[in-house]
Amino acid sequence: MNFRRFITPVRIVAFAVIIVPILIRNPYWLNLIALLEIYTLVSLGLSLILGYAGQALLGLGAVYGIGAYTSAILIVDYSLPFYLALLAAMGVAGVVGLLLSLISARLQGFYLAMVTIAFAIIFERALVNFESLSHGAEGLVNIPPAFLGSWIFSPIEYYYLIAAVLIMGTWITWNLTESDFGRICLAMHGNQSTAGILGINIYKLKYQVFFIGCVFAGLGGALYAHLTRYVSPDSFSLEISFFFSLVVIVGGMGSFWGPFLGAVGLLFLPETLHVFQEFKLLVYGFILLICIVMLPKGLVSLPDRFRKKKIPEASRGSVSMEGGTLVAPQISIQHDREILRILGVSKSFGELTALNDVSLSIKEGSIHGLIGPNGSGKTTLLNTISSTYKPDGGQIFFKDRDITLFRPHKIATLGIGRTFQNISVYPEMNVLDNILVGLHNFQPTNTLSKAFDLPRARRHEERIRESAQKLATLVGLKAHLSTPAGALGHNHKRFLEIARALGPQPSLILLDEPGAGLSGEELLFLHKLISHISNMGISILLIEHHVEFVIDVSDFITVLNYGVKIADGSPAEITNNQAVIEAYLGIQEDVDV
Amino acid sequence: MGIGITPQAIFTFILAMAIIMSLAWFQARTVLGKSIRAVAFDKTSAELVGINTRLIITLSFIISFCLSGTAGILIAPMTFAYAQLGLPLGIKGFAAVALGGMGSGLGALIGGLVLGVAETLASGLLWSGFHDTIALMFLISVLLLKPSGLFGKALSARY
Repeated sequence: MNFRRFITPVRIVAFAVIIVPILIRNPYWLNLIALLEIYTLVSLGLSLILGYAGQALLGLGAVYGIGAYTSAILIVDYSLPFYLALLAAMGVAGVVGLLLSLISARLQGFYLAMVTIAFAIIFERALVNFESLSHGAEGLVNIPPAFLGSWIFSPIEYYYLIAAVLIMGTWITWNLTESDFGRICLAMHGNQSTAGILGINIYKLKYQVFFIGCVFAGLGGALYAHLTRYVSPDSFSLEISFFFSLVVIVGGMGSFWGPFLGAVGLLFLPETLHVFQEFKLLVYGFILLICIVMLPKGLVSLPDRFRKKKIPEASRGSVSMEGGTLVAPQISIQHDREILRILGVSKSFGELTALNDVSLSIKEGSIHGLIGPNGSGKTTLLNTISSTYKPDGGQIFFKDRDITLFRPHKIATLGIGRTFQNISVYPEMNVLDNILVGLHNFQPTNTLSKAFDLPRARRHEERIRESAQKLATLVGLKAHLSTPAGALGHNHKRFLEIARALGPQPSLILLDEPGAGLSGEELLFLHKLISHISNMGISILLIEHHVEFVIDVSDFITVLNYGVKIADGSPAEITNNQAVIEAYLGIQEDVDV
Repeated sequence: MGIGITPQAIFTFILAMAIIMSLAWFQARTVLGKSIRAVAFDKTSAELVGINTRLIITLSFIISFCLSGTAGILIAPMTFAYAQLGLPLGIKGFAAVALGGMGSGLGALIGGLVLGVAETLASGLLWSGFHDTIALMFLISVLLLKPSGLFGKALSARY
């Protein structure tokens, strides 16, 4: 058997938590390690929300408390069976997670952090004040140990129950973070509006990630209640919320091992070194400071500091011109049909009119050039198509469907891909992952099958990985698959964006200045690539400042100036159009020397 | 319902207003104040026009800490000092800024005022047990209705 393959992270965690009671007999230590495992479970949930999805949820302690109280109250006051109380705690926490995700749909960053902190404070106050339900400031003191029917768990049996839950949680987290769920979470973290344009349904992703994270927290809380057999408002103050956030930040945001290292570092170390126990908060603060100054990426990046710095394969120099060909299902096209029709679109920013009653239509299968001086509204027009901006007036039809008010991800899903003038690749992710983000929506599977690593999810992953490799080859990036996109040269990034946009096999692709900053040779390659894309049956809207390039490659050209369409027609018509020459192309004058 | 005002409170109010107004003047009119705003807006371009960003950041921390210290001096005689005084006050300060909108001095002032009045009225009229939290509930509802705070401007993405 292949030994390296046998050792998966989930098996490492399973082995570690199973072996502990064999090595450690001391009840105090066993209890402490059980607590550590609960904290790790909750931190895994928070890691998904805060570390991966980048949602500043700082009040998770409240959800943890809700889990603990739900289970405790149901067992003590309503004598429900233990397993039902546990399920109820998960359910209630999940519902709270959904509510929090509604808040996060509306608020970002600092404001979201503030509101979730407020939520945690209000929760603690409510515990003290709603005495009839929560037993007030004294809390619930007589929580029974875990039981199943008439069988009462001994401490060691309960330890194994917690260990089993943690292993399960670890497995689910691993599956999610290794599948494209983790990837699109990181993409949303990196840039939410780009993620939307790439077809990621931001709101859906948020509610899923909050639901999963909060179910973990609620389950952790319920397990905690039966471990300590006592809950009071003090256990769920803001401090515990900050503790979980610290675990994720100190451990390392957006990494699988982060929460494990963070929990060991923050709970175990201060507890182990008895001298420090009195100064726990001080120790936390110190660890956080050290981490932020010396290890901004958290404890997981510690080994990297001692390892010799490996400079990522630089990708200077020009793009490998070989490229490749992509055999994609030929889309049957009718050349006389309009794929995109823009009707009288206007958009102003305050005093500035960026677009004024612009209409244009793109024929299916054509390459449509869009040119005009800087600030003429070309990119704004693209932004209204991909719904980054809502137009003030006018309508946009895609395949005879009014898409004017659709959300960005919906437009991408319908089959409009795009690249960005200000390059918007995800610098931390490697080339392959960048392309995979674009591909996530291609014959997608649901999150549940990803969480449980069902065959369906595996097939999806295999399929998109295969496509991503082909796409990278097509744009000449095959040699750089594992290079972080941030380390790529400017020219490579441009081509990476095209590969990413092509992933979900769009029927229309919007290219925003793909040739900016490319060398003459690279422009030739771009020309070849655009022709290839066109041959696949994909319609193209091309913004570009290299006029000869546009004239050469396009079937039809539209010219904008000051937000107004001043001409459209075939390349030959455009080059002879007086208005275009005056506004943009310039007049060739005979100069006497 | 009888709301009492002590001379101490009036003095505190006047002093606070004076500090806030001088800060607003400092930020709007002096080169140093403008530099702070420039760094907050875009650190890289501030650096490019010759602003010593590290110095400016240090300076803004110094100013901010001096202001917090002064606030502590002003509030101690009105409440009482205890070891955990910092966190609730810090959170309220945080809430006032969020309510007013980030980067808006006047916003923070009005945010703080609204928060304080709401808190006092609510605990007097409604439920003293929820003294701290009513202000926070208020904050949550305001932010949900207007996500960028009362005076903040919404930013949109640009490509």
